[in-house]
Amino acid sequence: MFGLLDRSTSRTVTHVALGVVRASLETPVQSLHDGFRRLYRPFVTEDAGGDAIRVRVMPGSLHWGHRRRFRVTADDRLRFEPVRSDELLPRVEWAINWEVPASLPHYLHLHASSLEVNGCGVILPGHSGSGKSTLALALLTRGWRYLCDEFALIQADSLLLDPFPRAVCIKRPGYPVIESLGVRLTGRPHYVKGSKGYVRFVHPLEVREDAIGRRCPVRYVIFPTYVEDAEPALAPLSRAEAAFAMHQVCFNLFGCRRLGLDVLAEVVRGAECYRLTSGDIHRTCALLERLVGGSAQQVVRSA
Amino acid sequence: MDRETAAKPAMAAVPPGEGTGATRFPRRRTDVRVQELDGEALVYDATTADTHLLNATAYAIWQVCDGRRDTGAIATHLSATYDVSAEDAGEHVRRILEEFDERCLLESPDQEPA
Repeated sequence: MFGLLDRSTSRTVTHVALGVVRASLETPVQSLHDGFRRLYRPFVTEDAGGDAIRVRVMPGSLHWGHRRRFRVTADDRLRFEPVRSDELLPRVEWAINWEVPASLPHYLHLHASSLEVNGCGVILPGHSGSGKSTLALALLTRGWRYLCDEFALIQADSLLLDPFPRAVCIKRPGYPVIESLGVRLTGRPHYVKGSKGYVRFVHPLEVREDAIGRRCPVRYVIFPTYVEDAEPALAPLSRAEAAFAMHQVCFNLFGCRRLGLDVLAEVVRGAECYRLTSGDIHRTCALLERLVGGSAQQVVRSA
Repeated sequence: MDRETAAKPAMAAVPPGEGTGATRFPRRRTDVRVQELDGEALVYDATTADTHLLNATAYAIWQVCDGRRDTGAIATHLSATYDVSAEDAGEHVRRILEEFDERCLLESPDQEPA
């Protein structure tokens, strides 16, 4: 896989409908096509529709003394030129992410993990490295339902949270924690994601068949910060502080059809807001379960 | 006020009623978007695309920056409304008005008086 090109010259197109996000991948690189389809098999559709994000990955020309670069474009904009074929799938994911805010202007897009539990939407905003993806996957194993690990998509008019069930990207240092949750990573393909290094993808449907959450109102906004060996703790946050912090992780504060600040203010009016110091993943999950009123797993099992 | 208005140490003292420029009879800008949340507020300035977080004290002062009261009157109002001494109120008012001024949240002094 490393640095090898597939010999196929025919372009293959795969369309997917990931919740409210539609995308298509066109590439002659068969290994990429196969990896993408394997990750999103339940979401493959016949046609992505006219408003889909269109990602193309084409091998670039080969120059003497230089390695061949791939060209990753999204909606005809060149986004990346990776060299290695094991960089391609993370770059495709990344390219789709870049286009999501532009493709859905009637949503406010936050950099956050988002989940649904018992019909309540939970947003975990945070920058890369805050532990939001690991926490989302951990909560998923305990019965919470997945909306997305990188985005909270809030409909600007209804203020409802919608799913964008992309695969969860796990960075190498997080492998032991994820495996301690019972999610098997060994044997999955490794990919390289820029400066983040080696990553593996896990789709929530591999964790649970009923893993994908439904559209729901936002009831909790929780800002996680991972601190090694810390005792997990929640500290209340005023709604103004929460809205201010959310605006700092908003991708389209000015590109949304409504003023982003107004949407955020309305969202926090209906939500409880906290800062979370997360440490041990199991105790952190237990703390959040107490917050939302009991174990989601029990609710799921008794439903 | 985040971006640390409320938490900052007091600015250089300006006696009540003797502020200069925009802070003497401070008048809040009306062309900014304000979202009140539980007694605090977010203020969005479209001209700079900046958002400011006002804590309860800053927002209380913001609301009475009407261009008719000088800093002394605002401090008196704050002291009468909240459980705070006149001295402390004056200190809060001076410090927060300085912040408002630095962030261009007040009308400029050459504006017509209210």
